Amino acid sequence: MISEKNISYISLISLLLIAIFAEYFNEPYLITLLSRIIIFSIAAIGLNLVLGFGNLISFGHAAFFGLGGYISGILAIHAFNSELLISWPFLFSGSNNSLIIWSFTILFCSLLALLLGALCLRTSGVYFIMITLAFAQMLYYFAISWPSYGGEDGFSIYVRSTLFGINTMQGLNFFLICFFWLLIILFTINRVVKSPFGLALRATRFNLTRVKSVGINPFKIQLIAFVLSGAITGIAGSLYVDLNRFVSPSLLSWQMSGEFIVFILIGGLGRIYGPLIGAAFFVTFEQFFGSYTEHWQIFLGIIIISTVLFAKGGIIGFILEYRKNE
Amino acid sequence: MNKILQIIDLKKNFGAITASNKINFCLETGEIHALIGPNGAGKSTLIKQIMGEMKQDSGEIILSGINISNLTTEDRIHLGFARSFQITDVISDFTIFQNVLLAKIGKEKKFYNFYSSIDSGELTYEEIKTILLKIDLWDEREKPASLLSHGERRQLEIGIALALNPKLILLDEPMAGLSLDKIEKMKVIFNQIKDDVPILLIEHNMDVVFSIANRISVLVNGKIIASGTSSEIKSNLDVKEAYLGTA
Amino acid sequence: MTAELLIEQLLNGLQFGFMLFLMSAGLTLIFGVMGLINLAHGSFYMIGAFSAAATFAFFNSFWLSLFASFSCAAVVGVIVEKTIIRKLYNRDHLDQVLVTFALILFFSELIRWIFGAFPLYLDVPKILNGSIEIFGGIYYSKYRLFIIFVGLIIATFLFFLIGKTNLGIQIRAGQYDREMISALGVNISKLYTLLFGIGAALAGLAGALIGTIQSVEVGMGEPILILAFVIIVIGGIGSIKGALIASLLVGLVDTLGRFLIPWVLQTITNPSDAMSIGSAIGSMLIYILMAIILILRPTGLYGKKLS
Repeated sequence: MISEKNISYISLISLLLIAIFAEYFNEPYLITLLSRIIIFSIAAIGLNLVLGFGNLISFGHAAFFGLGGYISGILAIHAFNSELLISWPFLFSGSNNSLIIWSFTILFCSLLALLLGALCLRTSGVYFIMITLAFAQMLYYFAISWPSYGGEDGFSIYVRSTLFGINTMQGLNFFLICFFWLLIILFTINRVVKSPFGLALRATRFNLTRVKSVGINPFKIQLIAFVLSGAITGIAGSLYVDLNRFVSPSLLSWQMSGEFIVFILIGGLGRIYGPLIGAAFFVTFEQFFGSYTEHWQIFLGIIIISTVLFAKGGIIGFILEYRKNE
Repeated sequence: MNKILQIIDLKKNFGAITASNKINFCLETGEIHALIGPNGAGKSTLIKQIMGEMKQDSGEIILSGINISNLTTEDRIHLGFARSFQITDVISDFTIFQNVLLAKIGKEKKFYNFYSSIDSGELTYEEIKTILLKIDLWDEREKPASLLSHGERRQLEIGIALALNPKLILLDEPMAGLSLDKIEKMKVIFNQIKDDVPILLIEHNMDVVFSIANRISVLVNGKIIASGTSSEIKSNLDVKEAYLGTA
Repeated sequence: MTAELLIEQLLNGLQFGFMLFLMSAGLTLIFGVMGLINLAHGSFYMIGAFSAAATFAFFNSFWLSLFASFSCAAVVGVIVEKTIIRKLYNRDHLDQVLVTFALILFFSELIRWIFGAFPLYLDVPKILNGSIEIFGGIYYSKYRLFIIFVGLIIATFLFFLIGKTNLGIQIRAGQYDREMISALGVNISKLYTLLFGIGAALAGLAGALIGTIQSVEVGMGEPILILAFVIIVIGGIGSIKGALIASLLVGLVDTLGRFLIPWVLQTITNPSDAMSIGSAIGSMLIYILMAIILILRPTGLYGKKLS
């Protein structure tokens, strides 16, 4: 019997096994692809917390992905060039220590999410979609027109950040770091969704009056979820920049936000492991069709439209449904 | 007898219309107090003021000695208000158990708990069991609310109200749309509850009101014109005039 | 800074505002009446521009290509509405976002397939070439004046359409109560198709008009789509009046902001810093404007109150 739990274990174990095989057969590109799948799924897992469980359709999560990326890139490039980042209240010239980079990422992405959330959650429905999109776009244009960090072209960082002296430039090691993050985040989300807070969050998606009438302030619940969500997507951005050793405004682009939503949809809305399955499908699809035609996005478009119109449960929903009918 | 809720000289005007005209009444422990009145008498305006959804122009609302006249709905709920809605309003994607649990979480301010599992049973499981037994839905606790009948939803509403561990329950037309045997069932449930929690009942069905209410207050044109037991109200001339247009 | 320069920027802002209005008018009506959030609206803008560029390449006529822009966009709009969009009216916003996002991917890639990745160009016709004296020795581009003129005509036409015609009554009724208009015997599905077609046509026309000043390329529609969203948020969903006022506001604030902020900053810092900081702030200005309006009025200037 295939349950949702089993699908998730199978997918996690296969990711790990494929990576080990890829290392054994010396296929570094495959390991990079697997790391990308994981990073994209972390980003979408962050979004899924508010979108899948709180029904807050944020079309601006690229803002957190991009901010996470830029923070990591800026800290790393300053450390590499031994260039001062700030001179007050203390001298600080960046860092290439992963722990420091991640702490900064989580801190600033949470603050951004707090600010944007407080503004955007004043609205609901379609206003919320458009406003989150607009604020992410604001950061995108800011990144493009701010010349200090490469403007439109972005900039390269030359080495990955270091963690406990592990050689992160080695593909499998970096993959394992990402994989470890994925496990932590999946565990966290799993706990949060099933906690009293999670129940309150899931309640806000259906009925705000009812939530209020039992003495819960939905705004606070949604805001906390939004902050947590932003921090998680920010971590993904940080890892993504480390993977590619390149920072560019495209991290902040609205297509990025759209793709996160697509991962969630393809995997299965409101399922903890949905984004992982969705991101895996997306990256594989891109590689497979991309090798036949550069216009693979035409087919992606058709697949998304058909999924929405005809197969609402995504891949996980499809498998569970299929098993039930057997 | 102990006064749980006291309304003192409550006034509310909408322009030239007086919706609440110096309303005075109280709810005491162990009683079902029914508030009746023809349509447009100002019942909903009064309830909104009691719940804090609407601000009174003047007057006071006292809950067990605490002046709550200027508090928000949220604060009033935490102090011990519970209500069920005129339109049945449960979360249909949640199970019965989850609906009651949500109320418990809200009441006990556990909504910032990110780590306990709601499935593990460590959270107030026994209390919820007691409530579900009281409203006769324990056997169906895993049923999604969307599959419930109208009557069962009403029962669940009461359960949610009870989970808030309230000082009083405000029931807004709980019998609306129920079949006769369901109404009988509800009456039994109400009579069980009232010893723990007094009930303020808004109800159109006069048979129900006269059979279960310990006291009845009649609201006409924003004014309480009579207050008393069933028999007192039945024989009151003003009430007859307000309802029938004749004395 | 001279007065001429300021007036020129003011007119540029006005011109930009009217183009934004062509985009946002369709978007706000489609949302207001059908309850549909349409991300693919930018695709019609792009389709309009490419149709114009292709027509121009064959017939070398600006006017013919202008005609092609809105008619092609309208035809594509009607086809898309009848095949896909129609299925989305009763779906939630997430489904609408996803499908229209997928439509963007589809159309952008299709256009890239047909026309290649290089930008195309449209020429301004002779009669609109060069500048004209407006008053007191101040000259302004004839073509941009023409765009303002077109914008004015279309705004007038839309206000007439919504305010005075039978179709307008149906549209307004549809914003309040969808069941009512079907009860009144209006063929809803025809009304929706027509409205979607009009929206697409306006976007297509804007694409061709702007494409002539800038270049015609894949992805041109999305930046302007997002501005149109900002406008709808500011103006209030479903309000044509709100869309017009917010369009002009955004057009002016954006154009003048990018121009004035670096200039103001020059007085306190060196020119190159002023330029870079100024342009960065200038690019964020309309979003800050949006945030402020949102804090004051969460449903926009002319939006219906949320229930």
